[in-house]
Amino acid sequence: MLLINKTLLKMSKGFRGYIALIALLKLLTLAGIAMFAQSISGFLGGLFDPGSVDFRESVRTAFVSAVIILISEVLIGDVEYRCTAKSRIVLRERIFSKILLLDVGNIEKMGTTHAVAAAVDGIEAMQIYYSKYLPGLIYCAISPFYLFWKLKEASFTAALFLLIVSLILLPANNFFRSVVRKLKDSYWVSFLNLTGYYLESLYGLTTIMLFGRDRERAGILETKTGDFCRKIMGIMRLNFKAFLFSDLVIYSSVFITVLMVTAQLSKGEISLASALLTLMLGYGFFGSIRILMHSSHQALAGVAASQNLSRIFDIDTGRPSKPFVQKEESDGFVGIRLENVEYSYEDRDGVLNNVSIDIERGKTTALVGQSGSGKTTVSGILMRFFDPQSGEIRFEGTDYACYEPGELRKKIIMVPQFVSIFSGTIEDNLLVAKPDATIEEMHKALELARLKDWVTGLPDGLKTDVGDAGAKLSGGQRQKIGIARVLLGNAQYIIFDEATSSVDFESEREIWACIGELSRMRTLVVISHRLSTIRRADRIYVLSGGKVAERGSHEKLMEQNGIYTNLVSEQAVLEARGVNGEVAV
Amino acid sequence: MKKRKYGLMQTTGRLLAMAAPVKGLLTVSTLASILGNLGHIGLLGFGSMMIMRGAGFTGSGSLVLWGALTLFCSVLIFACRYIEGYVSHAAAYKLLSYMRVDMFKTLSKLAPACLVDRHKGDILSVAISDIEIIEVFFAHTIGPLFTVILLPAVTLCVAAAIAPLFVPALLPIYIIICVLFPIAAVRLGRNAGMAYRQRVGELKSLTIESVMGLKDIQIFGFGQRRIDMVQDKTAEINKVSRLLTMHRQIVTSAPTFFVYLARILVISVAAYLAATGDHDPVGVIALSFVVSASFSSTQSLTTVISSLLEAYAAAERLFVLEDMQPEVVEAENPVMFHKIERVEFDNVTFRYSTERGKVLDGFNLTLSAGEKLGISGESGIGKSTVIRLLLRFWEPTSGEIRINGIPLKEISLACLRERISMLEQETFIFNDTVAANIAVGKEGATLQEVMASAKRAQIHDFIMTLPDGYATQMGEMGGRLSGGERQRIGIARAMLRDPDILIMDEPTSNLDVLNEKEMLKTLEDEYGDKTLFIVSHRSSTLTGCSRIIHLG
Repeated sequence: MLLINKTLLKMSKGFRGYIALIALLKLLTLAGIAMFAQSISGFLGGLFDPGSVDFRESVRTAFVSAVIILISEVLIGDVEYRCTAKSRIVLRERIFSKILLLDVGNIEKMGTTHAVAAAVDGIEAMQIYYSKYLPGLIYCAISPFYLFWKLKEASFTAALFLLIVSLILLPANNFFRSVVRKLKDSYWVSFLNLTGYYLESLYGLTTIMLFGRDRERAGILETKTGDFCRKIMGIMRLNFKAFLFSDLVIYSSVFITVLMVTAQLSKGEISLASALLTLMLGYGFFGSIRILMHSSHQALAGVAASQNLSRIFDIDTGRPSKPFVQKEESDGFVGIRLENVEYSYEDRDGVLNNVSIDIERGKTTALVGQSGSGKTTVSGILMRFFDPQSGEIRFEGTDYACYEPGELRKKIIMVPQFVSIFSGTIEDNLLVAKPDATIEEMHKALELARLKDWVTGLPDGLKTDVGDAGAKLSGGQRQKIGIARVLLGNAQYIIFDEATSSVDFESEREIWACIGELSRMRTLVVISHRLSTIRRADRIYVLSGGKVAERGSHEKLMEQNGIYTNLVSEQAVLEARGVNGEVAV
Repeated sequence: MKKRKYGLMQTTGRLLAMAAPVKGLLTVSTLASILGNLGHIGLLGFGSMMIMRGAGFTGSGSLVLWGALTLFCSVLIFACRYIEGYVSHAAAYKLLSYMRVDMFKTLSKLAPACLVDRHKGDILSVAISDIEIIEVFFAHTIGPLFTVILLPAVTLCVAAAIAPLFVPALLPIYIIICVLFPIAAVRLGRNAGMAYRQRVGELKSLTIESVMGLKDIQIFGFGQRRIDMVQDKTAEINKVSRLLTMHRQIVTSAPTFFVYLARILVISVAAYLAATGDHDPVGVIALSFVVSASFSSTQSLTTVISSLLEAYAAAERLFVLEDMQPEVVEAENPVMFHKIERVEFDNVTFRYSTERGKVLDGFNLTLSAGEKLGISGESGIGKSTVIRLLLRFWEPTSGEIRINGIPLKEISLACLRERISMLEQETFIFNDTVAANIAVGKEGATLQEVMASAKRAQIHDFIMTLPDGYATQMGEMGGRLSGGERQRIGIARAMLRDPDILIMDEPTSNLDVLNEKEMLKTLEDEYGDKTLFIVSHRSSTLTGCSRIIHLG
């Protein structure tokens, strides 16, 4: 099957020279092979006429050509390496930049499975296409002419016949194009499906085991692996059909050539040496096509991958952007101001309806409300993970759209509800926030997050490995690292989104005490459903159903006797019930 | 060279043993491979005879006979190549399917204790890409392994028939390229193959963590540094891929060089024979073609050697996982029980690994049916560990846990996990519908049961606001659910079962006050007669408990 793919060609920018060079070196190898065949056939032809051929000369030429072949093959290896090395770097840079551009708000348009499949397996699969298939294709298009030129003296008719057949054979393979198109898509879908399901099974394995669903899961996996197997066999069937078709053409042409040459030989039109040369090189017209077909099923995986990659590259990552203009709020307010902000996810009803919030610099602002009331969405908008559909957000007077998201995040930082821990050591995870942090700074931050004693008590201290994505840490420890990380940085605005939900009571109290200290220098936004933690906030916003229902200080809100008062009293009842009956072991 | 855990022969043997289910198919493809390669020898040999007969250089046979034989060989090659290719791939891919499923079964025995140190991206890489590359062994190696010995033997017989002197000239070359060279090539390249597979696995972990941790990456402007890490890893991949590419080129072209050498030797010997007067030009010409054809199988072997390096590395990585000793092994005749009456922790000590301190030290606890037990204590003190031990995800370092007086080790794992329902600290959401996610709790749960459970977990109203209600797809890892929503789906899941003990690990850390209150009320109403085991750092959550233990 013939695989010429525009997407892949477009992506080959930056390493096309290497591809051409590989094809060129392949032609050099062919020249060596032709030279070899000439000397051997010349010698063999001369066997019937002793003395006509210089034996030493033949052996020397044969040997020299063998060495040429060897050297050019090794050179091909080196260029192939350079080609693949460059393309890996170029393509990975593009895809990871895309991940960053998609940002938190849009990353689900790509998804983990797509990202892994495209960035790792996909790009590796494309290497076969670039380093083997494409140069092979160029070579296939040129080599018949070279061989014709070499053979035209030996037997013109045979050479012409072989040239014509080989020129027809390659495009004839295009016959399978429509099948190829269908197959490559369904192959990739099946591959993604399997990868995604396996990945999910790994992450959810504990849950699967807890509920005894492993056997069922294995059963579904079996159908998915079976489907993938069928898709590959579909490609294989096509590949072998193409093989069968080409082989039929190739072997009948070789056979016809032999007949032609035999006839010419018996009529004395050509010498035995010429006949042998034609026989030796005749197959060479097609050898390149066969090699090409050998790599074509792997190349097809590359084509499928590239299609997926280009879809990822094509995802729109445009964000609202305005030229930077330094402005100030008309009423002299300094801080972050959300004005009539509306936000909804594509397939859900409004999450935020006409929300206006003032986050005053140097003060503590709290967002409370039931789960699903839109608190976390507000924090996402504040971090500019996503942009609101309407309304305006201004950072100290200047529109958010005037800032690059990365620029804003130097000023506003956050402890998310679920902290992501990266594989590596505790230190690696702290350095995420500040690559040049000193040991003292890290200890200080850990101390504030009430984690220092535990860390220093570990035999490896900061260098302790946290396991795969922090698997060795408890929920509370993860959150504490998340808090320490944020305290290492020196952003003016800090958002705590349910930052201590999994932290024990003692630590929670201590952490909030130290956050209270911080609030003298920094601006805090605290999102919490534990009302005790936000009691002292300068201003509290109560969200309900995506709207701001109440606002004011704790005392003021308590007077209103609304949602907030209700929440506070419910919590008081709950907590009062919990104090009794603790038994220490 | 570093000593490897799995030797070349051992790995080959184990892979062959794995191929048992498709033995028949592989035999067919190997036979086809042998016949096809013999056909190739015949095609060139008979073809050259045909030319020489036609040109009148020889009188043996007839033009029609040589023509017919040549044609027959073409057809043979044609048929055999197709059969070999198709059948061997069908067999290989079928095996890969089996291997992937088997690997999942192995993983489920290892989880979670043995997998905390293994990066999930790396395991995924073994399951998907590594196993894929083992195809090279099943589909492209077994056939050539046979022909690589057989074809030279046939050629040597032909050579002996023409002139015995050809045999000692050709034999060393065959030994070098058919035996010594492939073995040396595989041995020398194994480390590079392993390094490549490992780096690819590492890159996968890096990618997964980059996407899953994107929020934290973006918060800290960690993105560019993350790209640098990816590019460092890519540079490492490039470094080993240079070794692999050069290895492949040398391994494929060096034998070709020897093949040319062999053909030069043939004409040298022919020249010598011609000089000494004992000479059969027709035989030499035919032999020259036969010799070149005899190497076709060597070439098909050498072209796969580099991929074979990766296949061996991949197999090794798979074996390492498969040979991991599970932390927990089910007893041979596991004891079943109907109802949990009593749970005892008897002087239990536990540490996750020798380099980390004891998490539990001489822990004692007795829990009777119907009791409501709460465990509180600082983060990382071992609250969740108690649960993991009870569910037998880990084994105590010393001491014993008993249920109804029976040591946990002797109890059927399925039965144990059937009788105990558990709400995890972080609920895992599967890429399926909401209904299916809740139904995880009970095999074959009906929609009515799912809805009833959702109502009890206070999540029904929320689900009804979703575009497709219970049929709404949750997307990868439940992307858009809030912490509280996830947790309530987890609660609904746990409530779907009818266990003796309900364990809740931090059930309320992501719940707001009203939801927490409702949930506690549900626990009181629905689980009044059940045994409850609640781990929480919140005293309010432990409200309904009849006994509270404080770890510390």
